Amino acid sequence: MDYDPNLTRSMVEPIILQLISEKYCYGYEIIKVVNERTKGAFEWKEGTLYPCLHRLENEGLLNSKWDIAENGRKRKYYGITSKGKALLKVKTNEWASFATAVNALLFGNAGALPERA
Amino acid sequence: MADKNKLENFAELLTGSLKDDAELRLDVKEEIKSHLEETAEAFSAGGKSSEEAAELAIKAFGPADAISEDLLNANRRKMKTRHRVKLFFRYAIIPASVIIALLFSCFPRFSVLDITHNYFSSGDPCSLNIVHHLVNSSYINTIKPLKKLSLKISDKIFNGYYISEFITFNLFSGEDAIKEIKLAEKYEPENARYNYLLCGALLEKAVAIKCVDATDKKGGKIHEDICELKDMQFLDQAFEEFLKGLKKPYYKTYTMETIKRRLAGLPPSIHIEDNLTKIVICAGILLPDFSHLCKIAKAIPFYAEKLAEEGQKDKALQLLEARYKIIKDMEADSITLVEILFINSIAGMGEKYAEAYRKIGKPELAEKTIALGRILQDPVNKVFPRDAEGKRIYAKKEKAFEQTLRQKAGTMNGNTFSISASEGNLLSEDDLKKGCELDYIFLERITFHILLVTLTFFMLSSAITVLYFYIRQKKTLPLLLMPNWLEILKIILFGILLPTALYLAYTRFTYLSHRDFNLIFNQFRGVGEMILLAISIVFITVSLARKLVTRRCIEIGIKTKFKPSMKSEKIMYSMLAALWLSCIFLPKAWMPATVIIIGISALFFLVYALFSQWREYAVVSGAIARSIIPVYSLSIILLCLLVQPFLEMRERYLVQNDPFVIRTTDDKIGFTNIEVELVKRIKKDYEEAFRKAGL
Repeated sequence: MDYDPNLTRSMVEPIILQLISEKYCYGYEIIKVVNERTKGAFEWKEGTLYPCLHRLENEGLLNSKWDIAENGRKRKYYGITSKGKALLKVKTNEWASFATAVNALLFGNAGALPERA
Repeated sequence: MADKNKLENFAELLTGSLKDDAELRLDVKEEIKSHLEETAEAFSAGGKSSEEAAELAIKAFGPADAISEDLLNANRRKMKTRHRVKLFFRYAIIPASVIIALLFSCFPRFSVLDITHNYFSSGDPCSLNIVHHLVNSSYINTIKPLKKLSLKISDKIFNGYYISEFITFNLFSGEDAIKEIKLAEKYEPENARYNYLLCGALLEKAVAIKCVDATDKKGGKIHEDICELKDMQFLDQAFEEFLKGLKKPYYKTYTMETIKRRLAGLPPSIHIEDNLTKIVICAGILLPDFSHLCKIAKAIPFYAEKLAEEGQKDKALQLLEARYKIIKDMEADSITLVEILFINSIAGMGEKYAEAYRKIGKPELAEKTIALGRILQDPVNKVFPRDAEGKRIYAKKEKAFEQTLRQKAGTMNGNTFSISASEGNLLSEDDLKKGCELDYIFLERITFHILLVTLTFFMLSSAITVLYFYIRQKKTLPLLLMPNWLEILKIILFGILLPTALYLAYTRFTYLSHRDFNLIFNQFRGVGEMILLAISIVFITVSLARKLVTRRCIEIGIKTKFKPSMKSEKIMYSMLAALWLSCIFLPKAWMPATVIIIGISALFFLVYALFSQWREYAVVSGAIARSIIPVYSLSIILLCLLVQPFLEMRERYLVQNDPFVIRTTDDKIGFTNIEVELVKRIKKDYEEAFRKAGL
């Protein structure tokens, strides 16, 4: 299923931060994990990942280092900084709150309306 | 192969927007290339041809133009910052470091010397010309300004100094000097000094005093001065002047007043050299009168014998008796130990005078003059005991203290140990410690200057290397790789500060690495160690920088045959360690030869290693040279702004609180505090000696 790009755009950064917070990742690996977990639901253009990673790194949310993998390939690995972790927490809560609110409105579960953060 | 080229070209296209920052562009390009290769491999594994796999990987990556634009937007701020840092280093830090290093290493501040030059150029009459002479070791330049000056009727101190200048700079017997001395006598007719000086000037023309080998009564070898007549007329004139002087009420050189006047014009000492310069200034004032008074004392018996031969016995006896007057006059005018020792040497001329008395036919006076001479030598002999033959006697305690001084006293105290050892009770443990501290701070300052010179030299060498690659690579500058701050600090810490700190700690634990007290007379070892320190610093910094740069080169895809642990590097480290160990553990006698042998071997090896691997590392050599320049420049700035003021402040404190070196107050003056005390005591003993001798 193709999603409206406007729908996913705002969540790209929190998703990347989340994946990197789980373990040190390189770009290709992130794409692979996203595809696996969403069963191909998010069809990101791979090239859009790198400007995003660089932006996050330049904002001090990620750090990076080059390493050589077992197969001899050079890869640039990204890790999350404490600033990145803090932002991820905020964004995750924000999304949870937002999703509950939208669900309540769209699916009529008025009793489950969340309190405003 | 075709697909790899395709991927490479695509990555190149994507990063085209980052072309203003070569390093960043290569970094991003390498990252994207790696991604594309992995994607293509996945497609290949799914059964696609390499060409198709590459096409699919490129397609999956997305539109080149949009991604390129996004990459630029994502990295714009970073590029700007990096560009600003580069500009800041290129136009501020690097030029500033060169200027600061040159200023500090070529023009170290010797405050007193600077001031003396200023005084000289200002033409202040009671100035410090003498220092200028001493500094330049040449009197020629200063004769001209001296001649512009003239004696002053009312300023006796200035006149005394002015005449000393003539004598000091070898113009003593010239007609000019005689004219000036006569004028000085006219301005101060009651001072015997000018008559004595005229006598000395005329004696230059009248007699030649030669030192010949002779035998004493026991057949031992001694040196003896003998007078040879050159011109009798001048000899008569000379002693006419001398006799005139004998009738004068006082003999004054105005040494104390001149020293005070000069020292008052000087700023407080900042460096050890300032204190030494002050000592030189004071010593210079004392020297002029010694040679002529010594000549007079030696010529008196000779002339007295001549007078006796001519039948002028009374005049001869009057001259021989004048020795006591010279001793008394000089003692009254003396303020320093060197003058006292000179007086003592005149008192020790008893035998020569006794011989003259005997020739005149007054044996009883001969015995008397020897006995009086001994009494007059007593005050000095009490401090520096001698046996009947005049040999110095060292007490056990004195020898032990001398040993302590050698090991613990520091250069200043140690170099005057003959005085200090005899008067050990005048030096406290605290004084000795302060003496050592002065040596340490001196060494630290020298080390600081060596560091600056080394860093500047290698910074300039790196710049020349960059220029070489710029020309070789057809006007393309080698790549500048910007290490992060932590990496720069690591190089500065491990390459520069740690070796220096270890060296200084080593010299502290071993008191200047076993150089005893006389640091300045043990320069070979010191220079060897400094060169070794400089080599160590350069080797370690370049080695660390090379590792950093080659690693970065691999990361960003510049081909290099980097090996993390190189054999040649290990050999060089071993050689450096061997050199340091030989410096630390080998006996002094072996050290120079060992250092030279290992040092030359290390140099040959280094040259061999450089040339044999030059081609292999040619790609990264330019990058190393260019990238290490900011590290060196930053180190220079850090050293000059943080370390130098601290060193300066500490040295100033130590120098100004040095308990040992010259103190001038209203009631005392001398080269050292010990000397001041000692002279005071000896002069008191002279009062007793004069009373005993009936003078």
